[in-house]
Amino acid sequence: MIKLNNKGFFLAETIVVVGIVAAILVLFYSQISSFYHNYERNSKYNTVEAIHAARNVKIFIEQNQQLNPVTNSINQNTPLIDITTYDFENVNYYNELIDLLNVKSVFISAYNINDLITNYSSYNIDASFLDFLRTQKVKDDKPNTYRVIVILKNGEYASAYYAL
Amino acid sequence: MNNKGMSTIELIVSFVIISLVAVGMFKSVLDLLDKISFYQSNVNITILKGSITNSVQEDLVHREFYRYDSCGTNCYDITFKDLTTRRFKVDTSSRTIQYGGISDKLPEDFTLSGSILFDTTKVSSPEDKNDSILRIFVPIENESLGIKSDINIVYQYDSRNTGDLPPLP
Repeated sequence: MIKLNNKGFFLAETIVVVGIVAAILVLFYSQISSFYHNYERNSKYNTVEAIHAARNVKIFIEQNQQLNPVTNSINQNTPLIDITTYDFENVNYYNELIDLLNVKSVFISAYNINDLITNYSSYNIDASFLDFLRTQKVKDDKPNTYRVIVILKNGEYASAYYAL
Repeated sequence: MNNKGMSTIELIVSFVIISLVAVGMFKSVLDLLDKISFYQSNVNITILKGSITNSVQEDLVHREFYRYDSCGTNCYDITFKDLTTRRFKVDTSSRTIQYGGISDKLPEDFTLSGSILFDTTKVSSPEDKNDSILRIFVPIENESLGIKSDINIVYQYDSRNTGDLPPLP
């Protein structure tokens, strides 16, 4: 009489191994996806074109020095001011400039925007703008230094800062 | 009989489970490869744009732009106030962008999607302020990925201030 002694558990073993491998793959894939989502989001921040635009707007502001009424009013209650349609002395030049740079919006804020990020709900800041501001968090503060933030028509963001 | 083994049904079920996991993995790997390819394309074109923009911008600022002249299709000679000239040219056949001594090839799948544009806009401004804006625009596109990655260089200057050189019309 042949004694069969098949100590199998093949199905259970397979299920357990497949379960472990699947869990590792799901974890791996979710990490790669999150890495890719971060890349996709950050690929819109501080791009070549956006930085170039921010620097050009900064050059204009530095040359024109007409933003004192605006910068003087930047405080805890008004940390961010939209100057896209600001009435500069040579506003026609300004409008041409931001049009050629494909700029949609221009903002001025203090150099340190940590308060703005903390209290964002009080201001009209959308999620992607807030995400960008979070990447601009600083640890120090520079007095009499302001930040020019530009948003391009293609959704790219950049900032440049200047000192009075 | 002491059968603690597997039956045909268990075998079939095991293979089905393994196949499902393999198909799921395969799709994920393909997705990942697509994303990596997209990422690589973007990185390559960003490096090219940065290189060209920085080189041109540095010259415009430090040598001071004076004028530009066409030297053919997609070709412009930029003259600076020190009377040196640098050629900006896009060669569509070799898919290269040349500026001065630099020649950068467009990454795979990126092409010039139109003619390059050199343009100056003049706006009436106070004496001590810039009154002109030079724009250099190179339209670049990746049709297969649907990405537009144009080079857009803008330079502000005062056209009335030409130093010892004759004023421009």
